[in-house]
Amino acid sequence: MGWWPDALNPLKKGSRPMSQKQYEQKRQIMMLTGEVEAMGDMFTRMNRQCYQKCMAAAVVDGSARSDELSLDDEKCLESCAVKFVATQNLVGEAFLSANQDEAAKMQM
Amino acid sequence: MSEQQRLNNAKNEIAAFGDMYNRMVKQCFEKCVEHFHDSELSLGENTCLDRCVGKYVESQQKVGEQMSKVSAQMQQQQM
Repeated sequence: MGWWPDALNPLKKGSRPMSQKQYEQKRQIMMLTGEVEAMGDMFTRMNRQCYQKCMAAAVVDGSARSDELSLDDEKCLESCAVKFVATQNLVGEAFLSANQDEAAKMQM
Repeated sequence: MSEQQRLNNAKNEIAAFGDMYNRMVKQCFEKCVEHFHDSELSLGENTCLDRCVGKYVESQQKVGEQMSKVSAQMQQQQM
């Protein structure tokens, strides 16, 4: 979230008023960029977590055979990746519903 | 509050939510998912994740409450 498109900020000094269509286009670009950034971020996290879970212990022990991924490693990494994505989705849903419950409670 | 201030507040709030979400995913994944012989989340892991999210949010709230109490006390002491 470090990048806020000043082009979309109507309060920024010097920004020109935009037509609805232009606004929509810029908003779409912003959303797509955000999505790509989120994917890259998730990839980095998944990489780190799955390395830690599947391979870090063996490498530190010295029991990992050098240079190549064994079949166990491959299977572990694939499962880890799928589970990580599933975790993200699950946590996202639970988080959203918890927030909505809280917002409903605060309004009452 | 000026419009600009409200916009900044909203930005910060969204950033905070996003950060909390990322940390939560990392923690709950570390704590709940151990075995990788199967590529689907088991029932136990699912339950664990649900509970993890609930506990994480609750502990965040409690810590926030305590912190605001403590900072209010500190402000009073300074005056």
